[in-house]
Amino acid sequence: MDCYIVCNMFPPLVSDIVHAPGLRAEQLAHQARPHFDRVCYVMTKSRYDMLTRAPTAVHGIRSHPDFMVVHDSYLHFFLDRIERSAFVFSQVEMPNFLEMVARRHAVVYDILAPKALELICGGAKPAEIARTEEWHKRSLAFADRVLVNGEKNLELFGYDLASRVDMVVNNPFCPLVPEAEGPAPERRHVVFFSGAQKWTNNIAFLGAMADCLEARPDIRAYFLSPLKNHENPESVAISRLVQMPNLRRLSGLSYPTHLSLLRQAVAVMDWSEINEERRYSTSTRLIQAVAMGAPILGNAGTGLDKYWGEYPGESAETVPTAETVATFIDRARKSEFDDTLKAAASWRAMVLEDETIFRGIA
Amino acid sequence: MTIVFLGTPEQAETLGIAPDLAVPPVAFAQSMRYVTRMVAFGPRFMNDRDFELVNRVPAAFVITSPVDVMHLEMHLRGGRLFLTPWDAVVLEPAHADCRFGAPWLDLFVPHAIGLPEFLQLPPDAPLHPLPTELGGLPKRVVVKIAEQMHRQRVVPYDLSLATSPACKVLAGSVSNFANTALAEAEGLPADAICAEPAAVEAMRAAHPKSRILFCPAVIGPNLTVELLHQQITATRPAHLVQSVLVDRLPGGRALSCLLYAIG
Repeated sequence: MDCYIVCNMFPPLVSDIVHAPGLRAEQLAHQARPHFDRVCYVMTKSRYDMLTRAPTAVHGIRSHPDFMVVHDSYLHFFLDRIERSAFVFSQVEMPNFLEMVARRHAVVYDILAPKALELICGGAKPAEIARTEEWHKRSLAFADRVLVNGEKNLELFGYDLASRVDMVVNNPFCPLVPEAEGPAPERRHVVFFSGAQKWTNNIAFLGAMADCLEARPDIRAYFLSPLKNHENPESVAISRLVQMPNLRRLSGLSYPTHLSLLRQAVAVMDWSEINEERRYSTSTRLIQAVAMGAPILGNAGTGLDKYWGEYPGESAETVPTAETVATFIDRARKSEFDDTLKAAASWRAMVLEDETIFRGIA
Repeated sequence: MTIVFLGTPEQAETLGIAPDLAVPPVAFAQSMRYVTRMVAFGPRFMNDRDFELVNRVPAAFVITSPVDVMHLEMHLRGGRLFLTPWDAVVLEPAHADCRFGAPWLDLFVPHAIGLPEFLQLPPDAPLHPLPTELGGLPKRVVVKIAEQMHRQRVVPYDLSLATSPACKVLAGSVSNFANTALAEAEGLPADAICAEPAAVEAMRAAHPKSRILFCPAVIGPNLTVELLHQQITATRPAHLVQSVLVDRLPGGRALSCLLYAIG
């Protein structure tokens, strides 16, 4: 039996621009490989066109035999002609595709993030939120297996999943990371970020970082943030930060370069004010940092609370001050989090090798 | 030789130089054609009028505050200022730590000579290495590479760029240094490489995972675009995305920059 991972973002296999859904697709493909004869990624042509319409000279999409694009008009032919397979959907936006698949094939519905909460916190229209909830219910109704990202999301979706408990599996988000080439680089600087989404607010944290870098010129930091215009509330804090001589600002990096930067980081920090969505969020930035062996400073009270067993770094409920940030970096420099990082690596390996995720589907 | 100095005479004295020209703004534009060098003491005081001159004659920027670096980056990013192998950056010792935030500054620091010697160089002599085929071209021609290439949005992220020794500074013309990570200096894997035709093969071998190639070259009867394309793709696959004609040169030649997607 074959398995098709339905992508709405490019996996690292074919692109250097990678977002959380692409990393999740790669993780699911990795977990599915022992159970199926063949595992492929599939993307609809409309989605592919949307992702490659940016006005850049180079899109950097590579061809790979495991990645296929199917024209939306021919999806039903495609589904009828292939042998019975399993399709994994990591997003709610394709309920029609999912229903077409469910007629002949097995369906795995993967809940990576609480989409409706994202829309609510992002100020979406009520009709859009209601539509997403309806898609979620339709996807659940046709699924043969439901995967949920972490225990907090299991709690959140508990009511929806109550009648289907037997087919629900906890599968925390654990992006794969490539093996490092050559000797491990020296960890020299810290890395932190501005707000990732329009519903995340990092302003207070960025102010604390500016205070910390001003007071401690020995700390050198990479700050990954796109240029923000003056109407953006974060722009005031960012304009202060970019004047610091011990700060290097880059707007964003390709996936391999980003991982390489994390591999050189002595500590990684990302803190934003808690809102309804943040309570269940699992920060991709922090999960990647831990996978690359860097201790993290993040929020307490998010979906990461129940990751890794013990938190590989520090988590703060209130806005970290310049002193708490500096103390955390000093502890990281003294390798005080090495034990928890090792435990996190073991936990990661256990999740990636978990056979219950796809057992019984093939 | 005429040097324009942006700053006060006292500041000029601190650098050990004697500016020849101290003109009011009205006369400034009229005198531009005679200017052979320019020194900006504190780039934060430069305005739009100055860039017309800065982008055409060899210029030195004296960094007197971290805010100067911010302003340089802002003007680079805004496409008003282009730095070339003819330009120099003088970092006052008190601000040497600015190098971490802007590692490209180091490329423009003239390590071998001081500012007074720099000001005595012949106007068309580049201060930093240039590919042999671009030798003899003045700054006002080579700066057109940056004018053309900085308009391009090659990828939607900041490139990590590796360069051949001859293109170390010229790379800032093909990929804006304000939005570029320096692969060698920052210890990052290279997304892109910038190399003249003779160094392409060696650079691709040294950075096998790079995905983009910038190749500034002088195209002419001896090296046509077709021949250059064959050279570049002879041993490893690469796809020509754009061939940018930068400027016409005498003898049926043209200054151009080829952009390749590798793999």
